Amino acid sequence: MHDLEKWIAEWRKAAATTVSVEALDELETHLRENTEQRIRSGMNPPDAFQRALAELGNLTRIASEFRKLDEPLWLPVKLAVGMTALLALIAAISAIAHFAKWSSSVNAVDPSRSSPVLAAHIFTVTLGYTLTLLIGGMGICFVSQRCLEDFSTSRLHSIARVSLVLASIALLLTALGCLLGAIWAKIEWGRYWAWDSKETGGFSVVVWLACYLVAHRFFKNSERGVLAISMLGNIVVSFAWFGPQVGLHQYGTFMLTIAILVNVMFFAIGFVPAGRLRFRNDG
Amino acid sequence: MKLEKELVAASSVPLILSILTEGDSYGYAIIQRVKDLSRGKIQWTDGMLYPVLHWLEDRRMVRSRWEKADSGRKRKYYSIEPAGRQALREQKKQWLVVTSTLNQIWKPQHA
Repeated sequence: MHDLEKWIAEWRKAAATTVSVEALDELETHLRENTEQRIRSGMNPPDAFQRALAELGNLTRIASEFRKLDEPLWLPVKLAVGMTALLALIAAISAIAHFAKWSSSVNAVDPSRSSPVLAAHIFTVTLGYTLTLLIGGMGICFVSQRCLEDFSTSRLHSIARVSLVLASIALLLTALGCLLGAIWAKIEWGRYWAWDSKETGGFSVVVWLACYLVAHRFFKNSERGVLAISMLGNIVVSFAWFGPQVGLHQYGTFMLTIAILVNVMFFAIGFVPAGRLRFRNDG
Repeated sequence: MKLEKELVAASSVPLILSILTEGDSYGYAIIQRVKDLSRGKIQWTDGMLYPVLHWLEDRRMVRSRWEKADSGRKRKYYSIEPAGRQALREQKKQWLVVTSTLNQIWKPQHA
């Protein structure tokens, strides 16, 4: 048996990069079962192992069959990731341009209006809010497609993982944005926080994103539910972004109403059992 | 007699699902069961079973769990899910159409 352990260790070492660890564990169990069965039936151990190895088949071919299971990224996920990268690039360029403009106008009448702190606050909050909307947008796409066809487990895992990563970045950016906003308010208005509508909105988005991450952490096996609730973030961001404009600008009320109606509708659809809204006739 | 690989591949899903309707099982046992049932005529490359099992799991036709056997060895057991039973019913219908059609053509020749 000592030799068997050595042979298996060598086989694992050679196969380590071809398939996932779990698949390798499963193949190893199979190899052991087959080898031991042959030894029990009287075959000598080296022959038993070689025979079992031959019956297991070529690892490269097995690995290529496993690779066929990996589905390409879902289009909305690609779009969300692409838009995040684009937004980050635009934000970085804008921040540099803004800083250059501020540097050349330090002696202007009111330099604080374009201070780097304010600029950084606007960029981080805008990015954080936009990312939260993208996560919610992915949730809407998820619910819509689920009405037509269910997702495979691997695809569901990958969507949930992307949603989790984006939410973590959004939380970091929004929290940083709120902090920078508070610092700017102290410089400009002499106080850090006054719970005005924009501050409350920003804080709500931070709380929402934290709750969303907690939901990901505690409901690992209910990815569908977690992705379905992601669109509630759209409502929270809509309140934070458009809520303070209600009364001052008509589009604020309009956008807020539309955002709430659309997201509540998709949120409700998200909890209809999978398949109930499919019109395909399988009979 | 060696079966064509296309036929072996096409029959793998209904065979695995049918074996799992008899009870939960694991890779090595599934292969042994296929060998017994076919009296060794259906020869799978053992390793090729696992991508199929993972594919079935991905489509929620089967569910897997690691379990420690009496021997102390950890095995990955598979059990059939409702979607798997539904898929098997569909496959059964299709295979029966194929076999009954072929039988109708071949019977007179053997009579």
